Amino acid sequence: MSSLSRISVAMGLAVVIGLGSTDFFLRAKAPIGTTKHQIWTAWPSTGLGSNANAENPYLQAHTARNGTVPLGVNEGVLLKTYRDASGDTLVRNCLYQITGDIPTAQLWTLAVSDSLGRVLPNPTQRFGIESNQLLRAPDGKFDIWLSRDVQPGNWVSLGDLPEDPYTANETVPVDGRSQNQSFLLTLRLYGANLSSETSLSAVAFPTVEKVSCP
Amino acid sequence: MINRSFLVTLLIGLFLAAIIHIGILLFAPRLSVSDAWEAVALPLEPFVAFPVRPMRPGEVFNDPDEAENATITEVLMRDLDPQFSHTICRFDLNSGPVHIQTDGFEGFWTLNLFSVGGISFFSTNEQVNAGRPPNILVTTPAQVTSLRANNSASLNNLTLVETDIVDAAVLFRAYRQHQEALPTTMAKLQSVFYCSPFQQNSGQEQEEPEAPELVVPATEAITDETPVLDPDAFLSDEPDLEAEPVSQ
Repeated sequence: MSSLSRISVAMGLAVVIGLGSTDFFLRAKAPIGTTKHQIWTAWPSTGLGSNANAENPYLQAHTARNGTVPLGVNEGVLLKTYRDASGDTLVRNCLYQITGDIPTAQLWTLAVSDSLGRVLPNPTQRFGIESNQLLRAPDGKFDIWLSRDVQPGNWVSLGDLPEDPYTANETVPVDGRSQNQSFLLTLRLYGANLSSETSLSAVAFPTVEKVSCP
Repeated sequence: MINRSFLVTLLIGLFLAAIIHIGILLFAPRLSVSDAWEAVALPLEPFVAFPVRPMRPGEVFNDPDEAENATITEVLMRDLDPQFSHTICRFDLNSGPVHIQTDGFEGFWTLNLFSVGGISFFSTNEQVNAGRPPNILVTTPAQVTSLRANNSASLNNLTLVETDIVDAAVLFRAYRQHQEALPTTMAKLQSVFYCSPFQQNSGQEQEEPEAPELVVPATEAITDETPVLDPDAFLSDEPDLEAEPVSQ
């Protein structure tokens, strides 16, 4: 092998593996630095003044690439799941039941979006449910139902409107990704004292069960 | 021998790949053009609060042109809580400290100061702030020293954030309590949130502590604790934040 070809092989490898691996980590749904708690992936806050994990270059690069401003240390904790309790991808034409506990927080919200975090237009004009709105049984337990069709009790629409009043005056191009029927559940715990991995591991999170699919 | 030289080539390749990997990771926050700072905050006019909303299907995230054209209406941002209303304001500390406050806002809120790469350097929430609305002064260490030397009374009631980061933005997240339509609450929020150059008392007024919490509509502002106030200051429905709230 001539030295020229060796140099080209080495350079080629470096570019392909270097760029490829970086891209892989920056696109990851659960990048290095996030932690797993049952079905939920917890995103630590990035930035100064937070715990050691927050200085994680993977998380900072992921934040920069994705154009987000994650919840700061004193804002709260964000958890995401793309899957139900049995490990299947969440799909918008199924019916899901959420039960169990939600960690104590000053306020929590559970939001439904497409896999990129965009809201799903629906007739109710609500894109999730929050602690202040939750209906609980006398024993404190609750069920949240996710489906396209209206459900009694705590219901969050997974629906799509043929005509979204929000965008009635706009032409919204529908790209391939938003046609995708999968969805993302995001639980935001505001003012929760859960900044470390240890404190997150000590609390229980709600479970998401698939009830039926057409 | 061929195998050995091939192995060396492989190792060199992997070593260089690791350097590229680490290099991109470390420089991504500075070099990215699609991060929340570069694509959302930077195109906005400084010291003006803009409503921010989450995206709908089909919309493109972080198109700098879009942000630039969104001067009056709304700015799109990724990963926002749809149950909240958001407003964003860019500022720089070159011409002095920056005062972040609300005027008549009630309800749960959180606030995040961020800079290049969308990286936060200060955050707080209603609970941390003892249930009060935000009243924050962002300064450089040099500016706060001179403020303290000249007029420390003007710093009363303010949360001081000292930073060397001169160009930054504030993202204010406000809970939509009554589930009003998003456009309504966004417009409302924009009209009660301010991030502006800090108005310092000067000359004889130095002794008078500035009380920015008093800059609220007249009906709510007059309480037993209210110090002597100029009644003219309350004649207008729209409080003028440029003016001194307390005058003698």
